[in-house]
Amino acid sequence: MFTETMLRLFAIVSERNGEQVTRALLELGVMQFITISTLEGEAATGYRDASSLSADRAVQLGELRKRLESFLGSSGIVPRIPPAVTAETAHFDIGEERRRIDTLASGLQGIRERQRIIQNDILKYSEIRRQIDLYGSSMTSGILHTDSSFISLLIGTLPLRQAAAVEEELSRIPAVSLPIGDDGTRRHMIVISMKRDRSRAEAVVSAANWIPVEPAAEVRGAPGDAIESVNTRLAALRDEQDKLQVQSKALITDRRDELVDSWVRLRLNELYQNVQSTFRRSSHTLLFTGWIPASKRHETEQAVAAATGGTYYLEWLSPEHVSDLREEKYAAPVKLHNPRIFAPFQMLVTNFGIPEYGSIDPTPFVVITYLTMFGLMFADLGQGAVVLLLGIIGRLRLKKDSPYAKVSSLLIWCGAASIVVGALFGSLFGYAATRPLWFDFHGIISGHAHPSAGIRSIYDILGITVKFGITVICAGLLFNWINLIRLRRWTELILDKGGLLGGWIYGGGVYCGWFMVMHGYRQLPGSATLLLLLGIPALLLIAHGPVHHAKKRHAVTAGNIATWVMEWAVELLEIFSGYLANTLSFMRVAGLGIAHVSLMTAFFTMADMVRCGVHGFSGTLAATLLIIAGNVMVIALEGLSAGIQALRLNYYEFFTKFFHGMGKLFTPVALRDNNH
Amino acid sequence: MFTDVKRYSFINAKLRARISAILPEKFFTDMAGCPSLTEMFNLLRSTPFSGIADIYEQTGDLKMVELELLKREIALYTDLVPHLPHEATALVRAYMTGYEIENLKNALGIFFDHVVCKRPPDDAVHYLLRDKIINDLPYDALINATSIGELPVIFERTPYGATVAEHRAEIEQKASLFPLLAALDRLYYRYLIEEARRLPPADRRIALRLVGIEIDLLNVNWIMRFKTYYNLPYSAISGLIIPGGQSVVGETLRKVFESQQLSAPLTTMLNRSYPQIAALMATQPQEHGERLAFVERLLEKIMIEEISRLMRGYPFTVGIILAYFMAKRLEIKRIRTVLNAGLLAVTPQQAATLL
Repeated sequence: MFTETMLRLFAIVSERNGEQVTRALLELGVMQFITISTLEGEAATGYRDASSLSADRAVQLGELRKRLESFLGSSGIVPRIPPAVTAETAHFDIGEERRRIDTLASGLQGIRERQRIIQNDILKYSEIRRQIDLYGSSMTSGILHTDSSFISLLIGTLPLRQAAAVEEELSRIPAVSLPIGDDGTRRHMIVISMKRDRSRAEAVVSAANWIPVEPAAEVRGAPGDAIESVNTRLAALRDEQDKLQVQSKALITDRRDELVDSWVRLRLNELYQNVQSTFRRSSHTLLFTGWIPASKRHETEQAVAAATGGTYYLEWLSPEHVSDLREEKYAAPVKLHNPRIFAPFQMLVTNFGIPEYGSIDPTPFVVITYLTMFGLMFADLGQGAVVLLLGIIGRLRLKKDSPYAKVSSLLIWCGAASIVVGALFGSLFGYAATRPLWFDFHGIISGHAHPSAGIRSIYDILGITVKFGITVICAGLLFNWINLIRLRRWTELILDKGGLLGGWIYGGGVYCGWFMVMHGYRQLPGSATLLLLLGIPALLLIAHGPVHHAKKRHAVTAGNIATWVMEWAVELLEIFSGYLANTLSFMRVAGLGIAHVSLMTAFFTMADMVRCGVHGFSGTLAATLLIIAGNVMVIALEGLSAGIQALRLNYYEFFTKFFHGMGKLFTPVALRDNNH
Repeated sequence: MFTDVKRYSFINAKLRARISAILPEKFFTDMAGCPSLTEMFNLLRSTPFSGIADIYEQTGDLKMVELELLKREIALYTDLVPHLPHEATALVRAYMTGYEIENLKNALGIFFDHVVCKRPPDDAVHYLLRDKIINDLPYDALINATSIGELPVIFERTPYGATVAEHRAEIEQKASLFPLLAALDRLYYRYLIEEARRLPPADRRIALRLVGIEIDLLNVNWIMRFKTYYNLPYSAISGLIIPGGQSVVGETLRKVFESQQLSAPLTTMLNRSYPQIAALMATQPQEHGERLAFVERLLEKIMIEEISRLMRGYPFTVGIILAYFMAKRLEIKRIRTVLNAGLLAVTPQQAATLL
């Protein structure tokens, strides 16, 4: 129910055991270290700060590791420290690792440069084709207006034996050579290039005894050939480009094992140096400190004992006995310990914030509130089964560490909730198909509910959700009081709007609301009751400002009094309007449930109209398809909407009563991520 | 007030969500610290810009990447137009005209190099954006034209026909494209001011202020450039000044021109509107070329300050739309800057100073 109890460990070990202790703690992975050089007034006096060297080294290693990670990531490889690997960090040469990464980087950059050159040729050929498309039509009449285009034409003949070499040489410019015909000794040819490459093309052909000829006869019908030739070249270049892309990926994937090993070495050494950077040393001893879950105390003692051969001194302090706890950076970190199956709900909680150390972890309550709200808004046996199935498929197809894996698990839970509440209302794919175990939701919405049933109208349904809302808000207030008692914040416990006085007013408000409903919305409780339930706590709330001020021991001025009155008025306004809005906000649960049934009813009505309008098999088929489409739409839209609204109600109506999200998550230094 | 809320509530929520996803300052510092271009692109893979990393992986060509960034920048405007309140649509389209005019200026440059300077055409033709931005412009006819005389005919049916026809003789006479380019810039700012003036009063004030600031900094930049590189007298420059500036107008502009340093008039303006940025004036470099880069940085700082003001201000105005465009433009510009620094093997420290 509460965040896990943490202990602050102060340890002194022999310097010669420093390496073994570091490795043992890394293997164990349960300690969040605190850089000891930053402690004030602690036992650190007399210890020298040798942490900066390790910290610098850790930064260097971290940079290299991130570089390598980025290369591996670009090929879809997510490296992890394998289970068999221990914290052994010997035989490590940072220079060698750096060279390996630099070689990889320059290899990839070299391929990119070759790609760039090919791309340049692709662009040139594409431009030639574009220009032929634009201006080449006139070639059919034997004349190409090359003056008005960016391409250049050379038309002439060259010796047959030199043709192949010239063609190869021209392709490097790039230029397109189109053979028009041979006369036994010479080949007639058109050379097309970009105008800026004309001189280069001329140099190539001139070196091969090129004789220019008049274009009129030779170029007839050439555009088609030219485009074909350009397309062939383009296809070849693109093929080459693709090969280079594959080659660049292979540069990483072919060396996957070597690179992942390198990453593991870097990561291990980075973690090792990170731990070492928090140590403080004397001539013979090492001092280190950090937070450890109380449940891991014994394991830690055993690990340190084994690593030091029994030569150690450990001191365990609970958070309330640590003098620097008030400083935020030394505050006890928060470890939530929920069963693994609650992981999706813990995700929802941490997405809002981290609870303060020692306060209530709302995860188990969120399981109940979230699923109840979702189930009430999306109650259907069949549609719930579809959601559950989608969740199962997601869990089977997605990797465990995928960010969507938890969302899939959440879908499974939501689907199950929907099935359970669907059974209570007897709803199956929008049909009132089974006998409802609780009440006939469909019947109430359609106006034919059984008169003897307990829940008979939409008002009754709204009433259920309002009562549910009151329960959730009361639970939130109760949690707040428990948290404040544990944190010994007595003033807030009594005088805050979420404290006892706030709760008194809320309870009074609920009673007044109930009284009004019972009296047909025409009568309020008597003035003495109103005074007792609302007036007195409202008046007492004015003490909030003065008490807060007195705690700071400041002198009272006229300005202070005016401020207190103003703050009191605003706070009262917030309490009355806020709690009323919070409570009524839960009516959306009924609203979405009603919308869910109404939408399905609308689809059934449309299906009936189709069935009546189109007789025979076609009508039945169209109606069935319409109902299927309706179900798909409702599952997608209503499902999403119910999920979001349930989350919103938890965040804004429930969490805001007790959950301030001021905690800091426990982040132990570990070889593997075992902090679920 | 209710009209404002009705008009801008949807787009305000949408754009604030998008602005929150803009890459943070630290991302660019990290990117600038990467030892190679490939690693810079690897960093981009985890961002909404992963598509441009794919282009680099397929082509190895940074210019192709820049072309894609330009397309994305323009798409910011085109994609948003259907969601805008109709009052703001015309202004946003006027902003898009700026991209069209820049692209047109690039095409004119290719034509001019080819036809007037008789230089062999370079790679620029491959990276010219031919997609329609606002108008269908005859880019191919322009880059394949053989004489200046053809220009008025080519542009006859476009919104730029009159401007081109007006400057045709001057281009021929001076053998310089500059008068036409300057006229196109003036045309763009005229469109912007016209559309800003059509907005409802609160929006009008914001839009005119932002356009005015942009014009101020452009004018200052031009004045310094002409003075530094062409040594022109103020009388020759004053005709090129873009009207509609916010603070640096008339005599102030002349003082900027005449002073050896930027300090006096600009510091006065900055002290009045941006006291935090005014402190930067003490660090202005002495060398002219560096001073131009300094003005660019100043412009960027002012833009960041304006974005921050608009985000803090009353939410239901055209300001949020303009803040979004400014923020996204800045984001894309930073990506472009860091990537080019990577291409030129600029040290991470130097690259960081360019941000």
